[in-house]
Amino acid sequence: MVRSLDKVLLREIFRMKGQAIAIALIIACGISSFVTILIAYRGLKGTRDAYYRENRMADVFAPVKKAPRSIARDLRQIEGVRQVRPRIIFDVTIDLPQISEPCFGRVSSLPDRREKVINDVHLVSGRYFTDDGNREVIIGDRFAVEHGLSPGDSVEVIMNNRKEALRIVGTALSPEFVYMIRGAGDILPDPVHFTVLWMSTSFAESVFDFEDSANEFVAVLDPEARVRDVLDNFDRILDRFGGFVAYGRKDQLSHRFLSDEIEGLKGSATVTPAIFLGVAAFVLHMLLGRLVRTQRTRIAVFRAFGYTTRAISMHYLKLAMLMGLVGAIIGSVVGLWFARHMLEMYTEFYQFPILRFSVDPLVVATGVLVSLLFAALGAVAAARKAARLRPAEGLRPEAPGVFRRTAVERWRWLWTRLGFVWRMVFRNIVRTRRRAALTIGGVALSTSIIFLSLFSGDSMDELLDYEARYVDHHDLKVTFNSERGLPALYEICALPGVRSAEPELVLGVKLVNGYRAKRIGIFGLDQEGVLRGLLDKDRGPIEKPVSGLLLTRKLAELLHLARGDEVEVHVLEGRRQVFTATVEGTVDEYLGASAYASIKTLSRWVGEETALNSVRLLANPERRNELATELKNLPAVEGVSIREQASKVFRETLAASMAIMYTVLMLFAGVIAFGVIYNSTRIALAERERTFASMRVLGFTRKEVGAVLTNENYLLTIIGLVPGIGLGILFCFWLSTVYDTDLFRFPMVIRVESILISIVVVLFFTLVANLAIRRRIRRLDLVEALKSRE
Amino acid sequence: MADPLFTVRDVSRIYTMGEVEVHALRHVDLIVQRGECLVILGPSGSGKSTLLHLLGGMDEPTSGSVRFRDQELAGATGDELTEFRRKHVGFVFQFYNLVPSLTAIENVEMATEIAPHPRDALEMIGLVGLGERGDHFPSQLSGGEQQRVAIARAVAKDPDVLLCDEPTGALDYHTGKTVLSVLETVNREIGTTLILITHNAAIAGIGDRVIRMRSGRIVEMTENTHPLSPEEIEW
Ligand SMILES: Nc1ncnc2c1ncn2[C@@H]1O[C@H](COP(=O)(O)OP(=O)(O)OP(=O)(O)O)[C@@H](O)[C@H]1O
Ligand SMILES: [Mg+2]
Repeated sequence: MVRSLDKVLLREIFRMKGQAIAIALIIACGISSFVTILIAYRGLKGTRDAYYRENRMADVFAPVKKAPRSIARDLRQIEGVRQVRPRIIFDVTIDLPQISEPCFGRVSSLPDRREKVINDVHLVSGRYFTDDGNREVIIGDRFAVEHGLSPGDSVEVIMNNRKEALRIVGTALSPEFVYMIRGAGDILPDPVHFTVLWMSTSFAESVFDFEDSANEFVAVLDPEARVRDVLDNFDRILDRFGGFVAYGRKDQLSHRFLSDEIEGLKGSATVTPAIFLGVAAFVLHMLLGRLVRTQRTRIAVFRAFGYTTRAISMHYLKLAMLMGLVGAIIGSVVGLWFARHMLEMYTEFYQFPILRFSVDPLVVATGVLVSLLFAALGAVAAARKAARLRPAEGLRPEAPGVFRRTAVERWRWLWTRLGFVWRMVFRNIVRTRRRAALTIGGVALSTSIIFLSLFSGDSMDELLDYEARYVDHHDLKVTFNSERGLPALYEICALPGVRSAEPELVLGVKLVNGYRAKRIGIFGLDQEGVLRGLLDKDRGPIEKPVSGLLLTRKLAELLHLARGDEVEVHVLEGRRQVFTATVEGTVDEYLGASAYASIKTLSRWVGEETALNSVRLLANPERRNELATELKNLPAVEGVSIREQASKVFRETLAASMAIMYTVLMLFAGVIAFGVIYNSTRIALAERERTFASMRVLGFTRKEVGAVLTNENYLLTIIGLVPGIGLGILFCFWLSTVYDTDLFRFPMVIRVESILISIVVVLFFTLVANLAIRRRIRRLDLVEALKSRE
Repeated sequence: MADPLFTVRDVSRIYTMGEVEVHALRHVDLIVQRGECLVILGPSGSGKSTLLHLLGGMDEPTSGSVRFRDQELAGATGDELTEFRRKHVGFVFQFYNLVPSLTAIENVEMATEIAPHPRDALEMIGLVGLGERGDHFPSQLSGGEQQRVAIARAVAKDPDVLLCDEPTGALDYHTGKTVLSVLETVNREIGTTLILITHNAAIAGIGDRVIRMRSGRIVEMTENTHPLSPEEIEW
């Protein structure tokens, strides 16, 4: 008995294949995002954890000015500390003849002979140091690839004011530099201009005059150790060696970026799929509701034949589950494919020895189960209605549609000017309010997704624009490897091509307000300077600080400081004194968390008249590259950055990574808009086939008849655009609040162009759905439709 | 009898459903004169509706020729047929097929909007005796009233021919009679050619000519020298 019902099932699915496919596709979007995100999440997290474990990623990092290696023994006595390694860290400049802009290296020492150490390297090519280890270096694998360097080649490195040629013995990756970022304030890795240079301890000791000394201790802790206490103990012991305040893994830059990404993935793994599956369930609900209504007679006949109500309810449930299953299969396949690509994209940003992509059957199974659940949810009402139908009732024809006058008709003036097509449209919308609401909702959702995807690009543009227009006005920025006096500035001013130059002093400090403390960089600015702008939240310029401090808004929030408050400043360099300063106000910036003071104040804090460690300058455009080359050959220069170049790299990297997101989001938005509109129009068409056929018989053209449906869709789309844009703006606000971290913030921008683009794209989706509907109308069989009552 | 409106020559209509061929019409010849009232009788499945659909440009013959005045309908494009229906044909069906979302008067206006020389919608509603009910939606009208609105809608275009497929089939005796007299009025007073399908031999009395069909063929044609008015017939 059930057999023949199953046959009916397949025939029905086939008859509404367009609608079934649309629903399956919406489900597929949900499941594919679910699978993609979870697989990527598990892949990234699993890879990170394994990588950290195998290479013994440190839990604690404690930089100092200079301390004997033997202190490591004292540190190991601290409760919870399992292992400690002293090492030497120095920033150096790398001179590559083939490129004009300078490259930077971070020297990091490793034992002379290979051991299982904390923060070990993962060798990709070449080998470890020889017994001698002199003038040997292992460089970052990505940097080597980018510049065509391989073991056996040599590189020139300016270390401790001397230029030395080092021989590359190997290339490697490190768990500390999965995200190859130089310092706070950067957001994107720059593996082209920045690399780690691993050297043997004995070689590093001799180069930097660090006999039996180290300037950083890294430690691995017991799993149950209390990090906070361990850090305090480190600070206590290392204080007399110029400790810069130890920090835990969670504050390590590479780790933070990586972990933020992983957490972000986890967060979106539920929201996105839930939206799509919810929409799919709604559309299914409508479709099956309509199906039960038209099949009342058939249901009654089956009931009369003795089919149980259960068999009949199951029939509709199965119909829905079949769509759910197809959607889940498509979604899983696409999701796995996306996940693979996403992980590949991650290798652009994150450097792992291998990025594990594994088809996790649990994730896929969960996806399938969830989609079946939502499909069943969409079918429940229809199944219940079918089961409740009494045979006698079903055999009576359904009452004709009852229409009422609509509110629009009260405006006689307008109403009398509307043709009957628009009258039909209005009355139908009012009659089928719930379906109209679904269409409007789908359109709104689709619009908001498109707007959101455009927003992320707009926001990035805005950020870069803001930096260029209001914050950084320099062409080049030169960083020295230590504090200098005014002569260094004059020396740069005298170079050919320099139009103007301003000194800057950056100090590492710890700001303390009660129990709240934060390690930051504080920028000493020239009172008369114009190359570094400071702005308030309305983008009005702020006076440079005189005697007190300006804090970025986020930093002020974190430390609970406001204008007029006093804050303790622990200078982490020189004589390491503690001062008290007044907060003069806050500045608004999108990158990093920092503080600003006058260069005079900062110089005084380090005990100088005027000290500086970097210079911003304007240069003749045509001499810029030449100047950069000249600057990087100055012995004390640690770095030179060309603003234009930096922002170009930034833009390109972002654009590449966002292109995929754009495409995927547009696709998703399209599936929702198309799926919802197409489905509800198909239902409307089925309900009103007779009406349309009789119009055709009267002599209306296909186009005129189609207009009744397509105009309704355009009207509903236009209505849906309004909440859609509103919802989109809300999403953007949400995004910019969620990403309000001390590393990075999304500027909230609403561009009219983006609103217009969203509108045009959604109208385009509606047009596509309407074209598909037109095709159905063209195939409308007049004779058949009018032959008899259903 | 020198003004033929339709000239049907050797028309066959074959429906193919997989292996099976259904011959709905077999070599039919027929001439319909302008202004006449033609009644088509025949058992179920004999091809009455098929013939009517061919005349009304809703369907096309498998072979043969269907001419409306000088225009060949066999082989015309979909757009040409739409144009033809728009200008020349009014249909009335057994089930009234009104647009449920439009009021009675709006249903009639819908037709007048597309016709080249439409009649006044209000006048047509009056003609079918529903002057008071123009503002009602189809769901608020009885079957007979709905059928009268359908006739008003068909006539409002001022068509050359009114094609009616069992217009009284779903109505009771009295309502059926009312509808028939409306049709007769249209035929006699406005002069619209009327072609009417019925199962009911009694109704055949109102026709100028009656054709009987069986198995896709016209098997008999009779002329009524004295057609009856709807009031005179009984069934
Ligand atoms: N679309 C179709 N496909 C296949 N066969 C059809 C189709 N339409 C009609 N037929 C067949 O053509 C034949 C004539 O049908 P038609 O509708 O013209 O009969 P009719 O005389 O109008 O009958 P009734 O009085 O029952 O309306 C019938 O045998 C019918 O089954
Ligand atoms: Mg028939």
